[in-house]
Amino acid sequence: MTASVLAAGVLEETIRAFFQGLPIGAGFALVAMSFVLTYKTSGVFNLAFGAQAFISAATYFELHVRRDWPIWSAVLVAVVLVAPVLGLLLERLIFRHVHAASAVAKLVISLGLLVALPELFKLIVDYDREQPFGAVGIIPDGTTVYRLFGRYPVTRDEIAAFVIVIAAALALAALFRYTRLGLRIRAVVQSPRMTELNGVNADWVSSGSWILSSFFAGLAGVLLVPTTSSLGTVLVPQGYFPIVIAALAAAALGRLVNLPAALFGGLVLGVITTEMRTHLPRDNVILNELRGSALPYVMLFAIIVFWPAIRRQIAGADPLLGVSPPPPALAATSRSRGMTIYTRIMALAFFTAVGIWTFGYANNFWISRITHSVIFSIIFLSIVVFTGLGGQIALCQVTFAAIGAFGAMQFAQRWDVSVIVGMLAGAAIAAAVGAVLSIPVMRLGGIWLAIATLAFALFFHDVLVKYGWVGGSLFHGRGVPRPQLFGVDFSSHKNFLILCIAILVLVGVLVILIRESSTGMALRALRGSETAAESIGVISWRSRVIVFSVSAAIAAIGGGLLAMEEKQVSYEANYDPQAGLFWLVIVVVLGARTVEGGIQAGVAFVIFPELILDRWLGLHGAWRYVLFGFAAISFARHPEGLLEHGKRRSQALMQRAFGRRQPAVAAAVAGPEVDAASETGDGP
Amino acid sequence: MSLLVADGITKRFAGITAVDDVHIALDAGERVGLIGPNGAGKTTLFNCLLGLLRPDAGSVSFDGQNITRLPVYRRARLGIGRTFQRVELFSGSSVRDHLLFAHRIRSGTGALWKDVIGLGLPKPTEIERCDALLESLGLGGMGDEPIEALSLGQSRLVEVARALMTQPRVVLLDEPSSGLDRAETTALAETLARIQAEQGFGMLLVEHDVELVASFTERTYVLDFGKLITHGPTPDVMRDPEVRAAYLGDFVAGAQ
Ligand SMILES: Nc1ncnc2c1ncn2[C@@H]1O[C@H](COP(=O)(O)OP(=O)(O)O)[C@@H](O)[C@H]1O
Ligand SMILES: [Mg+2]
Repeated sequence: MTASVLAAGVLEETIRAFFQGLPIGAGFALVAMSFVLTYKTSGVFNLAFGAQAFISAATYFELHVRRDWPIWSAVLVAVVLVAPVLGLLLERLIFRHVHAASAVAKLVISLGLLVALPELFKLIVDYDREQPFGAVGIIPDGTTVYRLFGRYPVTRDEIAAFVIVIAAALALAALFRYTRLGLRIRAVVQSPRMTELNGVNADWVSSGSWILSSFFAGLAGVLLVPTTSSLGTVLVPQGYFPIVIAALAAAALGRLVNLPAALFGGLVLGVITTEMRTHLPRDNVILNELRGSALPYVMLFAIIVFWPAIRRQIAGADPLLGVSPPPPALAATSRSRGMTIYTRIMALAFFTAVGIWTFGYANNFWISRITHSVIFSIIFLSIVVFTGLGGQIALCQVTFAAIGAFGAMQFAQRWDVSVIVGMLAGAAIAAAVGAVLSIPVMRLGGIWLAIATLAFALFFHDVLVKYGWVGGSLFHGRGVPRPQLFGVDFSSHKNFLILCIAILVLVGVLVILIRESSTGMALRALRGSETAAESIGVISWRSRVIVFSVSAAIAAIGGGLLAMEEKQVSYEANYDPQAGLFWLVIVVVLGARTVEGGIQAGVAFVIFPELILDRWLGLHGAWRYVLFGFAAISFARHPEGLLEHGKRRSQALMQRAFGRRQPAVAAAVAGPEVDAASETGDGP
Repeated sequence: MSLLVADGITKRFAGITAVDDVHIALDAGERVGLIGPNGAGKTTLFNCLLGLLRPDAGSVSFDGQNITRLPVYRRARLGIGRTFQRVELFSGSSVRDHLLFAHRIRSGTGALWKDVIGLGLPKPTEIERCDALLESLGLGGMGDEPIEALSLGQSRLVEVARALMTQPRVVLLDEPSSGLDRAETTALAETLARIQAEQGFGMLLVEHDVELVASFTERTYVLDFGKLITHGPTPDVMRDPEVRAAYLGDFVAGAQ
């Protein structure tokens, strides 16, 4: 008797969660279909859909809530006008021109846009002039509750979201079936090569699918506002990130190529989300986390790693998914002796001047900025190892840095050991975590690896940091002391800077040694041809574990130093996964292949916004995100990094000026455009 | 006891049996050919020997050890070297780097801790060794060239050199003549024969170019539709009327 009552209760809860999950899933499905559309028609894995969804939602908010426009006109502008135009602009101005670039290069561009677009939007409409509170849906009286079958509560907003999405999917199906553009897009989605052979106008297909997908993203943006709690009532771009991740998981279910699977996957994941929220036990901490925003990350990670279709696709080696082929030798390897000496003297003179100024004249503010640059240079060397040497992209470097920072903090707080020892312990833990993480994601490459590591970073951010043994307790705070070492006190700014420089030099030398030694050789071989590398005895899994661990340890050392410099772990400010996207892009854009590149990225990351933007140009801090987006776009043209590109160019000029013929360099620089296209072209 | 033995190898793909119960054996220092028309299953058998494919039945043994389930790199480390039908080089690396990598990895000196303390950098003796091999393959002075700058024939030689730097006891060559013209093939064959005579490694030459196989192998296996149809001393096989009629046709007739 009681059992059956209980069962009835559970059943009722399940059904209720099902109806609540559908509208959420409908939003996921819209974004998931957008992913599929642009991925298949232009090979772009567009993480910037989150930004596009935000822009539509924020436009609607600006017009309807803040300026009291009627709903219909605000929707018309935000979704029917702004979203498609934005999609068209992105396609025309950016993605059309990087068609030949590798999938990874395109991913970097979309990361740049993900950060830059919302900031640009906010600057243009002065969105942050007050807190964007009180976002509402696009349905009048949307919160009115109806009872399905007399029992299950659903709001008007939820019904509308579901109905609109199904209508949109049906309209898309009709478009594919009955219009010329639709037929062409469908043809391209099914077989890009075939349609190229048949001479279908690829430009229109590409523009069309960007317009459509951006419209979908915009629609999802406004529809999801009232239905997902992660957006809350304060409308900020970060709120769309979990949604994009869930949509990504849905799209991944269809291997990013199957539209119906994306639609269905979105709905299913929406329902799973609400079912989990309803049924997971609340007393188990880890399971309880799955109730909240951690779920999309776990789902995404699990789908990428375990979903058989993806495994098969990777085994089938879709050329779009491959890592970009290794770029040509560094300019430094082909420059003449005179040039090398000249460059070294210039560098020495520069560093001496900076050193004299820093230690003789700079005030504490600038010393602290310079220390930050040095520390970020160390952190960025971890990206040099992973991306420059390993040829892959990981988006969880922030997590490793955070582990280093928390390691230093925890060891100093709990066991009263030297904070340096704590940092090293943190580095060891990060290396171990990196090694463990490398095992499931080992077989992945290119964008799948990037996304899986992003999911991991988000999981750490959303779940693990909340544990006392990771992120520390409120009671203890997150304070971190400056170190004492061998009787030397490093608590003064200058002393600590010296320590950081010493560690940077150590790590830099370490990276060069690894690059030039057996490990680096194995990595270069693997990057060139995995089959051939294995045929000479390279153990690919071991090399990958090493890359993960070494780069994680380096990031953790940097993270630990950063905490000491700031005398606390400023987790939200420094180690947010979205900051990690920023890190990656700045390093690969400037040059991930050399230690110099990492250091220059560190300096640019810290000094540029402070000095150039703020002091010289007097621009708002948000401009740095915008500029960053533009910088990311340059990556497709210069995958070797802007610095390396500039170096080659100037080297060729100088050598021409000095009358020295260096055929290799001349050839490399003669056609930078052609050069870039072939470097990033999809591998065999 | 033969060095490399394939015993009853069978490999099926959806619908077709690409390799059907094939036995081959190769002694140390021996030059053996494996011929057959396109689609006969040569590459498939080859990949089963190397571990890129797992046979559905049969076993592979090397030096008396059963290696059927060993991964590719373990076989390489045991002393099986190979080249590729479609050239597989490490783009972005110099010619010498290819040899250096192979030497380094084979000699097992690649521990991370050695790298970190600076013991992993290329040594002058290693570089000398690489250049000596390049020299003897007729690639002298090309060590610093980027690999992309080489012709196909030279690239094949680099593949051979790369395999040789792992000090293999047997080298498996997959259609080294493909993509080369007659003159290039002849030059390659001469170089191969010479270096084999110098170093004495065993060699399994997989080819559809019968002339190349006839020119310097001692024994030959003939594969067709996945089945071994005959084998024996190369001259006998070449004379075998069945082989000539069915698979070699005018090729041999024209060559003789
Ligand atoms: N991965 C594969 N999947 C399906 N069939 C294959 C595969 N590899 C080879 N085959 C088939 O097996 C047969 C033998 O191919 P292959 O070994 O490449 O021949 P050869 O190297 O002698 O030209 C051919 O019919 C080929 O189509
Ligand atoms: Mg073949």
